[in-house]
Amino acid sequence: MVWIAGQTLGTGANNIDFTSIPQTFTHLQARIFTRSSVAVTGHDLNMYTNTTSGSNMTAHLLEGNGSSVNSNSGYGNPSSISLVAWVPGASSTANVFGSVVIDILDYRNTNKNKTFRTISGYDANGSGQVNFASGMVMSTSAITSIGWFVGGGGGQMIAGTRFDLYGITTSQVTGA
Amino acid sequence: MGVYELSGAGSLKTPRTVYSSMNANNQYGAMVPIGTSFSTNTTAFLNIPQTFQDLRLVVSASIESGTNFPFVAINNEGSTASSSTRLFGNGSSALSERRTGDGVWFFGAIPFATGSTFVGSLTLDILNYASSTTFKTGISRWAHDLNGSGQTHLTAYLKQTTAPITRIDLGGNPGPFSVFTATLYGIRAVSS
Repeated sequence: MVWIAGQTLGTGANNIDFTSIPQTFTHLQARIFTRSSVAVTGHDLNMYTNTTSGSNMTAHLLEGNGSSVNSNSGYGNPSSISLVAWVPGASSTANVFGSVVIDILDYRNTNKNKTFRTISGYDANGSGQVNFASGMVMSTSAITSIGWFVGGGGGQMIAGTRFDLYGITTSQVTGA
Repeated sequence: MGVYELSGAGSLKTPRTVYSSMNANNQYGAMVPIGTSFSTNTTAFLNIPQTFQDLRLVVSASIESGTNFPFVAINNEGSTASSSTRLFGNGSSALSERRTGDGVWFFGAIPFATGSTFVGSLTLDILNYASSTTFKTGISRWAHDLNGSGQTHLTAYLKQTTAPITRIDLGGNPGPFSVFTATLYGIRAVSS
């Protein structure tokens, strides 16, 4: 596993984007630690890719909220974005951030659609949610950029958000 | 930084074996082992370096008999500032539950089977563990299958402290384990 890029936000941001992703790895893993600025308890985190043109992304989620189990398909399949996680919003317990780990398999293979899977969750001492999610980009184009945003617009990922992109290689890691 | 071997009690072995040549060749990439324990009693990873971005704990464990709920303790601090939200399945039902007012993070029910050949597997990710401004969040996958029974869990944990994580303890509730291997990794966010 090799670190590609990442950053801790000093101020809030509407979107997080990784562009010009190296085409030298086999899989990608994104690790995101974030909280929404919107005054809700939990807020949806959505993903898009360079190949998002019109509606070619899908999602399915299995969720537990501490009392019940639910399953949903995000914004309907297909869509231009994919719901990948729920993270705490501004109405949640202060200083609580959500953790999101997304695996994007075979991201540069031009013979198949792209599949990704996510585990995510947060606990706010009396509230919270955990999610399994999976999704697809219905395109055989290699993924060269990925981005995320919270909610349906108007919200930000707040200062203190940390996001990192890693490449997973099948060759032995060497380097200086 | 070297990779050190921990004793069963959790402190550094003497003499130390420093595998710095592995790091020099970047053999581990971004995921670097910090320590491994095979102790069937309580294990402590001490003086966790603050130079990584995230931590990952990987555990394989079982017990011989009885009911046991293994746990992770953060910074050896036993206040009731821990809580969790869990999604789990047992082969026939899907359930979700919540805990508050805990002193530790509980994995979930652990398998027990005579002969110690059946184990449960845990992966716990703690992102941003060295932050001094945010509470600590963990997310774990814990599962076991006994060929006719078993459970699989996805759990989010909270420790209401802004202190960086410098120590992680693992133990049974009650212990000891019959089979136990735990490895703590640091995931670093620097160019190779």
